[in-house]
Amino acid sequence: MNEELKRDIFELSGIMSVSGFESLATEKIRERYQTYFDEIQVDAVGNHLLRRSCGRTDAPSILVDAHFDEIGMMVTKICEGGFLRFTSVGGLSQSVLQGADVVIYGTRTLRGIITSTPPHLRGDSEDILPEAEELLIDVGYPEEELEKIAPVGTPIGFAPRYRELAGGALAGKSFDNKACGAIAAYAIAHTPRENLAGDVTLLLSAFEETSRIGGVAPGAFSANPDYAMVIDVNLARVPHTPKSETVPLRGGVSLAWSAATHRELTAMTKALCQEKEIPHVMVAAPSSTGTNSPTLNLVGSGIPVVDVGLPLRNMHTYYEVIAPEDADALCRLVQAFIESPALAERFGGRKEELPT
Amino acid sequence: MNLYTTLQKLSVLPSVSGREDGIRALLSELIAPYADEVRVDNLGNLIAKKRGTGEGKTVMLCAHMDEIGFLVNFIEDSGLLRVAPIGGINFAASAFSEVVSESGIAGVLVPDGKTKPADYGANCFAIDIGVKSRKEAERKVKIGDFFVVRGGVRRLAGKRITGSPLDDRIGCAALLAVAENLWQEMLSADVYYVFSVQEEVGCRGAMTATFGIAPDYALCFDVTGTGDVPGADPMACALGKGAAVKIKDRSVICHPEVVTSLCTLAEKHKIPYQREVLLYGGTDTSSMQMTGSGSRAGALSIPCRYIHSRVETCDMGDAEACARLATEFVKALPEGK
Repeated sequence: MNEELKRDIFELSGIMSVSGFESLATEKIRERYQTYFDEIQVDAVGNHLLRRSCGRTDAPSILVDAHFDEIGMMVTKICEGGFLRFTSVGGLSQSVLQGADVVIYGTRTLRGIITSTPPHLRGDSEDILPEAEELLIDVGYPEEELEKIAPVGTPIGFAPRYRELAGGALAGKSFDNKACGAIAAYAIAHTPRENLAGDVTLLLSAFEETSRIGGVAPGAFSANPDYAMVIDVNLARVPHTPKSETVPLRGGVSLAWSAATHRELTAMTKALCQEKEIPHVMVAAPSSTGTNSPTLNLVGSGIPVVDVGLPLRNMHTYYEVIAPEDADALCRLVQAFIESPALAERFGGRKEELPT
Repeated sequence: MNLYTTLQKLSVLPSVSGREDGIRALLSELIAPYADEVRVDNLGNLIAKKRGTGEGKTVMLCAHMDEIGFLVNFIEDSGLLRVAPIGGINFAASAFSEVVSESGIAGVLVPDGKTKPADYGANCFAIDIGVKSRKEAERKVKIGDFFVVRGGVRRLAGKRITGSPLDDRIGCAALLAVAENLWQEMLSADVYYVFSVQEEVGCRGAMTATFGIAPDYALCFDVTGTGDVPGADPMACALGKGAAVKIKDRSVICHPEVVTSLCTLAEKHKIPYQREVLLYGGTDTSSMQMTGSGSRAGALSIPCRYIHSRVETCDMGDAEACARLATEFVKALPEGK
C-alpha cells in the first residue's frame, strides 16, 4: 500500500464522526477531496455525496457506498466531582470500556478516562462486564465548568491513535468504516476520467451504526443510481472466533451471496475479481448482510447492489486491525467496478428490465 | 386557545393506532382556522399547510394522534374478551383500568387472579364488558374491535396535570398552539402541521407524510421520559424545567444544526429549556429524518412521568415552552430555497 493511501486511512479514521455528527466533518472532507471530485455535497441527514462525472451524456450512474459514521458515546449527565455519565452510540465493545482513553468533543476538546473498578474490589462480580450506562468518565474538572464545556448530548470518541504493526498491518480506531471510505475515495479519485464507465457517486453515508434504516436510504434516494456497491468491514478471523462467521485477514476482499443483494451483479463482480486477479473470498449471508446493502437494495424502485467486505479484527474497539494486502485488493476492485464496460452495458439505464 | 382546555377535549377521544378517525375530525376542526389547506393522506395523517411566499424552506411540524390500546382477538364462552396489545403496553400499569371501545362500549381490563404482576402479558388479561355470554358479547363487540384505557386529564398542584393519553395529545395541543401563534406571521417558509397516525406501532404515519411533503426541516413534538422519579435511570431531564431539546433517543440522533438553533433561540428569548438524551423509546423524528431524501430533523419533547400508564404526568409550563420555542424556530429558519 502506498503512503498516500495509508495517510488517508489514518486521517479519515481520526476525524470525529460519531453517528449523528457526520455533518461536522464536512470541512475536512472538502479539504481533502475537493481537488479530486467535481462536486461534494452534504445532505439534510449528514450524508456526504462526492461526485465524479465521466463527461459523457447518457452514461450510467454508479454508486459506491461506505458509511462514514462511527460508534462512540454521548454525555447523558454531569455528575459531582467532575464525572460524566454517558451512553453508547452504536454497538460499543463493552469489553474495552473500562480504563479507556476518550476524547470529549465539547465546546472545546477534553480528554477523559473511563472509570474502572479495580480487581481488588470486584469480588464476585469479576466476570460481569458493566454496561456503558453504569460507568463514568473521569475528566477531573469542576462540575460547573463541565456544564459549559460538555453539556448533555456532547459526543465522545475513543482517543485516536494509529500505528503500523510489524508485517505492515494497520491498527487504530474507526477503520470501521472510514478505512473503506478512504480506500474507495482513493480508487475513484485516481481512476482517469476517460476510464470511468459512468458518473460515479461516492456516498459516505451517515447513521449506519445506529439507525434501523440508515442514512444510505435518503442518500441513495437522492443519487438514484443504476447499480451500486456497498463496502463495509467484515469480521476477520482470530484463533478464538468461529471460522464459519469470519474471513481470513490478508485473504483479500469478501463478496457476499445474499437474498438482500443482486445475484447477477455479485456474480459479475466476482468475475471481475478473477479477471483482474484480485484476491477475494465468497461468504454466505443468507437473509441479511448486516450492512447497508439490504436497505439500499430497496430504495426507490429498487437498486441492484453488490456487498463487499474488508477484513478487520477487533471490531468496535480502539485498536481495529486491517491488512494492507486487503486494502490494496479493495482499491483495485473499486477501480475495476467503476471502469467495467460489462457492468455499464448490463445495468446502465435499464433498471426496468431487471428481473425482480 | 387554552392549552389545557384543548388537551381535555383531545384526551377523551379513543384513537388507537390505525383507528384515528374520531380525533382526526376534531383536530381538523381545530387546525382549520390557522391553515390555508387541510387534507388527509392515504394512511390517515392529517396534514395542514400554511403557505409561505414560495421563496423559503419547507418545514414540517409533527405530533402523533394515535395511542396504544387493545385489539379484541377472541371472545370466551363467558363473554370475556381476550385482547392483543397495540403498541408498547405496560400490562402492570394497565391492570384494573376502565376501558372503552371505539364505538363507546365500556369495559374493565383485568388480569387473572393467579398471575404475578411481574409475569403479566396479553395472555392473562381480559376485558369484562358486563355481559353474561359470548352471544350477548357478540351483539356489542366484534373480533378486531379496538379498546383504549378511558382517557381524560385532571389538574394536580400548580401547573402539573395527570391523566391519559398525554402521549401524545399534549404534543398535539402544543402543535395547535404553534399554528395559532404563526397564523398572522408573514413567513417565507411553507409550514406543514402534521398529526400523524400509527406512531405507537413503529412511527409509520410520519413516513408517508414526510414522503409527500419532502421537508427541508422537521420538528417532532412528543413526550419523553424523565430522571426525576424514584428508580429512574440517570437522566438529566425533569418536569417543569422547560422544553426538552432532543439530542438522541433509541430511534434517532437529531441534526446538530437543529439542536444548536433550538438551544440558541431558547437562550435568546428566555424560554426555559433542557437538553434531552433518552436512552429508550423512539419518536416520529426518525421517520421524518430518513424518508425520501431525508430532512434536518429535531424534536421538542415534553417531559412526562409514568409514560404509557393512565396517570401520565406533565407540567403545562413545559408544553407552553415547547410551543413558544417551536414558534421562534420556524420564524428564524434560514431564508431562500
